[in-house]
Amino acid sequence: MKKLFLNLVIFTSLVLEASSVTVYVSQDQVFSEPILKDFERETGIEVNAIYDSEESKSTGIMNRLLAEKNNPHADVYWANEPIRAEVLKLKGVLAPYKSVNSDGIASVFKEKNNYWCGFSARIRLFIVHKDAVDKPSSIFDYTDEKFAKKAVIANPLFGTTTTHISALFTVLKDADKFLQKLKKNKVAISTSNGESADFVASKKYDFALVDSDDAMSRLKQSRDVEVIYPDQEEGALGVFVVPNAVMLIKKAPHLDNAKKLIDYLLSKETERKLAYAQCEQIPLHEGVKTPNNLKPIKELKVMDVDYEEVAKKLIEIQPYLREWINQ
Amino acid sequence: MKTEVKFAIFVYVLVFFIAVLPVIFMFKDAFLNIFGDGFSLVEFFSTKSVLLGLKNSLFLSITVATITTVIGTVFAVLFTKTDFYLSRIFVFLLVIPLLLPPYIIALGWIDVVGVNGIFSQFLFGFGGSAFILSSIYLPIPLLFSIFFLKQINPNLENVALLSSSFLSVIKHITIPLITPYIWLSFSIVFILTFGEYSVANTLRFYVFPLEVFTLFSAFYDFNGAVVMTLPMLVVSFFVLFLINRSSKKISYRHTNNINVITFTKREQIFFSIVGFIFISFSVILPLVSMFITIESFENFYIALLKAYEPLKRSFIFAFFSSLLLSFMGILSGYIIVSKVRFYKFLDLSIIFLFILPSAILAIALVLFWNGKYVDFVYTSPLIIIFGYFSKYLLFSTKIVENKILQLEKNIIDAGKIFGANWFEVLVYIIIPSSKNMFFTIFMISFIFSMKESTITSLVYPAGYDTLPIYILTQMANSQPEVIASLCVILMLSILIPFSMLIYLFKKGKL
Repeated sequence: MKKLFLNLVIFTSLVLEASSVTVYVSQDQVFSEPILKDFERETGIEVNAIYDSEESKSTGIMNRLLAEKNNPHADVYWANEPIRAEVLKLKGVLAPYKSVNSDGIASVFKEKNNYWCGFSARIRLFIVHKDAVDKPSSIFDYTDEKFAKKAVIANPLFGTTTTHISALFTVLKDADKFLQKLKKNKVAISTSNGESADFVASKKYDFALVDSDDAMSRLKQSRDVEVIYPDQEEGALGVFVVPNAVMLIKKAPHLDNAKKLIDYLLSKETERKLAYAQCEQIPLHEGVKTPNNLKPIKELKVMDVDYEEVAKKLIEIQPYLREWINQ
Repeated sequence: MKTEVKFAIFVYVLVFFIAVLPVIFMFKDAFLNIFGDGFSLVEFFSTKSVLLGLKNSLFLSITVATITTVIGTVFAVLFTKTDFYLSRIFVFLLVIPLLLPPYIIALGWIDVVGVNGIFSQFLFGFGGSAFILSSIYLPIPLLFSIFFLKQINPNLENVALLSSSFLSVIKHITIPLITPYIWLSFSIVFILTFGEYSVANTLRFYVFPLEVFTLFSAFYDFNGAVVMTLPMLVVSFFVLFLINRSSKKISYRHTNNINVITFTKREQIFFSIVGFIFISFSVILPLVSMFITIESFENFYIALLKAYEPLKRSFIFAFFSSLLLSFMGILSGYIIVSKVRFYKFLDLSIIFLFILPSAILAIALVLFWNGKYVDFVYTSPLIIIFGYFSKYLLFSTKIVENKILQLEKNIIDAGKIFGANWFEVLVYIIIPSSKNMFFTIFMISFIFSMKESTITSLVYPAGYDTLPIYILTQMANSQPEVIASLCVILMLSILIPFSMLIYLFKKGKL
């Protein structure tokens, strides 16, 4: 009897283990949860998700993954940008996995050893108030005297602004001079991209460099703002693309289900859903149907960066950024 | 072995293993890793940003603690020592900001003032941070003072009233009698403000905890963040040390009667207007903005359906945490007052855990309780309860300590003479003599557990999110009416049971 009971317990726990997957998510819950629910419905695999919050600048999950490194509980991490993936790779938290659905995604958006793969991207663009007399066309307009005191940028110590600035440090020889000029031109610093977008929508500043989802949501709320894709001319830098990134956690407790979830997230169908969601993220697969106001990735001049290099640069320049912010 | 030693060992072991040992492990690792090649502690703490942050934090904490203590004590006297007829409703309204995560209150105020409004210059910076944090922490000195004003022996005041005015008695007799509690609440507000960064960060005022937060969140540097907490620990310990010294000078008496003066109609109207203006500006404005944002009952109902599961979990976790905190608070407070061997270890541990920044404490719990043989804690809601226990044991312990000090020493001595052991004195004399003590500490523990978000967000197992976590994870890009509804649900979920329990308690049904 005792043996039977024990076998029953073991069997039940194995069944429960086999039918679930744990995912840590830094993408906004409001956009990511419906996708995970669809996965649950379509595969019958129960998804246990832990979401990040804006209060912790979406870094709570990262810190948790690092703290759990020796005894992981997450199977998959869905990051809202690839630099965290690179940091986790460097810290030995990730395992490589090549998904069949990653084939249609350009190699620039994938880690070369398959530690992470990008999908559905945001881009860094300008949100501009329609009443602004002069409109920016390049990120270097931040340093143009005619825009003095008229522009705002999010704190470069956090989020995608850190990533963007680090990317600039990889492609420009004198990125530090650019930052100094930013200060000289009295560019305001906000606490987040969302706040920058709100500042522009409320006409406190003329323009701000923000993530496309922040700009799109303000565009829907206010008729007074417009978006401008920066640096699109011949020879210019191009827009900086920030894809979502999905990755497998080393020693994932539910390996098979983790792979199924990664395949699902990298599918064209997921990209289509995220394009039509309120965040309007740009698909990285070719041929995915998108809303009319969203420019397909192939129509954009994209900044040519190596995300691994950007991650390394980010770690290198953070002390400098900290000093810069306190100047 | 004496009874008190047996109980003390039980409490020491529990506090040590649940919370102190994880923190010791974390500090050990951090110090061993960071003090490698060429690390200089002096250099680490003497950067411009660290010094600026420390200066701002000290200034902000002193300001908020002073404002809340002064206003809280004045209101407490008004609500307790007079027959002011709006007392209950004013206390009820003033407590509301304490029930929500501070970050949400700050966002509520930005909604009211706007980023371009006339008052936005004031809101964004020191003024706004001090104002909002004061409105959030005002209930602490207010409730402390109300609770202890009701414990003062009226005979002391009666004697003084024979030859002095009421105000003079309040000034020279009543207030000095509750001075230790005033200082205690001052120190709690000081420490809470000193460790809080979400409001200041939202309002772009640079404070020291942001240094810790930056190392932790932008640099993923646990070791640096842990070492960076040292000034916070030093300052907080210093404040508590001063408070502890002053509280030992006061003796206490126990009573159930309260002296109350009668207001004239004119005075009732005057204080109603003053109180209403104050509460409108400090509490009602952001709440009204929240209610306006909800727009319709349908929106509220939809949010309620969404919030049902996280709310249920919040109740369960807060209930069990509060039970544990009440039980352990009574034992810990009694051990400290009785000065059982090694009681100072317990006292210091509880203080230390409270002043440690929540994020650091949470990571210590994750690192320790995610070990090979103990990860059943990390993968279950036990980790959340351990988190609340570690952070909030100070409240229940200090209330119990002060309550026991108030009891007539003769009663306890008489019990001992008749052969009651240490535990019997607690069960048959102390607890029955202070019926509302358990109720008070349960309530305070419940409020703080219900609204906690920083520790919970870093430790909760998948599928066990609480309502504050659900609100915070929904905030990014959710519809404003959903967020506003969720905030109101959180508020009501604390206020409704809170009011019902107080009612039942007063009717003698609990």
